[in-house]
Amino acid sequence: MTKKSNLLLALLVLFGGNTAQAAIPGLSGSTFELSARTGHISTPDGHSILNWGYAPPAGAMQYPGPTLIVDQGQLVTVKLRNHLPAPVSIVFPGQESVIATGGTAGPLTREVPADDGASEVTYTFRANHAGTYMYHSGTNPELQVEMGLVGALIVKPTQTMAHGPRAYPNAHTHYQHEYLFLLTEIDPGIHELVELGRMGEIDMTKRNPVLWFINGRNAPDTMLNAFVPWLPHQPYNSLPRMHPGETLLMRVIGAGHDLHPFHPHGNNVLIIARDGRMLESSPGMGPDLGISDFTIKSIPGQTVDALFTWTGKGLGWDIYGHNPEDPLQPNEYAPDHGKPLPIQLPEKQNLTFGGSYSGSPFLGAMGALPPGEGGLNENGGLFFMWHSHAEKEMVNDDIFPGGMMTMLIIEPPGAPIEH
Amino acid sequence: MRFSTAVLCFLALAPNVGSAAEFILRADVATKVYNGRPVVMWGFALDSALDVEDGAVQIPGPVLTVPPGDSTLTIRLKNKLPQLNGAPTPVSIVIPGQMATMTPERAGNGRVRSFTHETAPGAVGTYTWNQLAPGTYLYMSGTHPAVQVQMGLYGALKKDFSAGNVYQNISYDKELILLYSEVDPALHDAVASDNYGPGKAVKSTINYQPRYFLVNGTLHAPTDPALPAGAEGEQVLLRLLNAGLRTVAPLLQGAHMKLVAEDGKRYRFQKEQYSVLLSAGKTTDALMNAQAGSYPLYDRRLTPGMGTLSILQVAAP
Repeated sequence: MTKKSNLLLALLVLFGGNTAQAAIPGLSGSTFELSARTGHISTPDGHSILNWGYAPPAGAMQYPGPTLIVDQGQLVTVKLRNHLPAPVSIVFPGQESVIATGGTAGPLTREVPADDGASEVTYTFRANHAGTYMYHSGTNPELQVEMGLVGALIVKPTQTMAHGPRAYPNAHTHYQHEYLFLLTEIDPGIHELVELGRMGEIDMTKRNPVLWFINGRNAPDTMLNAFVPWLPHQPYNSLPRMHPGETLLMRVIGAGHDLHPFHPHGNNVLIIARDGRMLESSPGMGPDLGISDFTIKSIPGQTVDALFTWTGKGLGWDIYGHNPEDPLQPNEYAPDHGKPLPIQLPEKQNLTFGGSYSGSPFLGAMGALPPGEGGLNENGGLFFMWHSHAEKEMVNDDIFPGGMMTMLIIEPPGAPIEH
Repeated sequence: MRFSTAVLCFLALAPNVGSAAEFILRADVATKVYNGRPVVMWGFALDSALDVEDGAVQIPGPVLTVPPGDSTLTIRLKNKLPQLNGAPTPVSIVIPGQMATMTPERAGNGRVRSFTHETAPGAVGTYTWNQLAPGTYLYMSGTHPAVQVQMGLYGALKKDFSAGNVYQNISYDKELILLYSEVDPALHDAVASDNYGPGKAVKSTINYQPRYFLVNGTLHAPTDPALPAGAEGEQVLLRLLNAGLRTVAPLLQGAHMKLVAEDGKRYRFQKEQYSVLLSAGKTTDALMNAQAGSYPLYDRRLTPGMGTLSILQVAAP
């Protein structure tokens, strides 16, 4: 048995009983009390930017707002109070018969006046259809969505846990891990004018975003843990992780003003739904019109659900570095079993190391590294960049790398993937 | 069953087979006012005869409705556009997605100036389509389109497959046309004051920066009445067209639609969405079948001023 296999065995022993699945953090329930508040977000280039956003009860402003997680068929009530210097509201694209009470009438829905939390507007609807949706301000939305008043709404179908959770009431939408990709962009100049109270000088026709976000963070902050204390207004991260052969559900939301071509490296995705509806040829068929694609066209206001899986198929070498007589790993791509890595690895002195290199090209294996190198890849996982393929969106105000970018980590079998 | 319907349709329409629709259009100048600011536009007018100018210049141009049985469309085009840079301004008409014999015309330097034959100022040009397909299409100027299309020379053309059916087996009860476009007033000012072109203050459209984002040629105002969108239980056909130069993403708030066709071609399978990706030059047909109520429809690019907002009102059954 090789050294790598020993490590894997140890991992399996340690974590073999771990069946945890990555879930999307958020607020669950049927009644939500949100407030619209201000706060300053941080971006990796050193910006501190005034945002407007939805806050959970007794919580700080969040960018994006709390992810609301409800069950299909539930009557959902969202109560909104306003601590902003302007009226605000919420619209729920894709939801039917939303009833708004209180406040004053606006062009898209009823609005809460700028009364520092004195009054409340209540939005009620029945979440008739499972799927991925969003919510955002319906008041002066060209400014308020830019300022950050956006969030995700996830409607879960009735689950039959026999084969794991599913995105829609159909067996072909099962997944092991789910991740949110809420895509936005910001022009800090507009936020600065709002902060200075120079509202009259804002010209939205000259909007020029220079910061691009996944779940309210820019790379590399996307890869930090969720809820790190130094990003109090940006609680959500974006670090998809999975084991070989598992299925990962991507919930992609175009929450900003612009289109983004979101490109997952490693394999094609299967797009199974758009706007909370399965791509099906007729009701009950399931996503039989699913599209295999390597770039998800994310359109403002639209949501996309996609399934991603990965086994290393097509690489032409054994990702575990097995000898032919070694046993197969779970979900290993058998035709490549025992096939050697087709290159000679360079000598260590000819390499520049990144923090995510385990010292070995093989999954679950650790190799010797010079002192002080590595350390960001505790399980010997394989990393794939997932990012906007509009390359200029991979910067933080002109500084590369950053922006709408993160990494998928393929973790070795048995490595823990917690929430 | 389908066969007999087809036979019936054929019999009903038989007298029209091979007949031709003909329109007399005039390319001319008009002034529109957006947010209190006058903007000189170029647009199409529908005249009743070649020797009269009795049609109003419209932005977008008049909706051209071709009866289901007509396989040939003829547009007679009169050119009343002003001179630019001391030279006459030719014009033409193209319909992306419809088959026609295209005869491009070139400028002196050899570069294509017009996708098809031009009509000189004061002249009358004839444009013919012999195999007109059903669906929703844009017509627009095919001459110096970078300038002329954004000046306002665009409109909607529609032809149903048969009475009450936009495409084969796609029926509808009511329809709404929603044509999106935008205006850069600085560019229009330059054209209107003959300050556009080589050696002039504005040399090209490279710095195009629209400020007014329109639906059916107008900016939404809070006092605008809602658009009647049929009654509960009816199939309402939304013909969405983008005559602008940028992508719009119309979003219907409160109901999903069935997208049935794109660029005049019926989808094999309908798409159930509340949002539509409507690139520049694209048309999309969607069916809405919603409960009584009002449904905002707006460009989710969230264009400044929400000028693209329409409120669709579905009446009680």
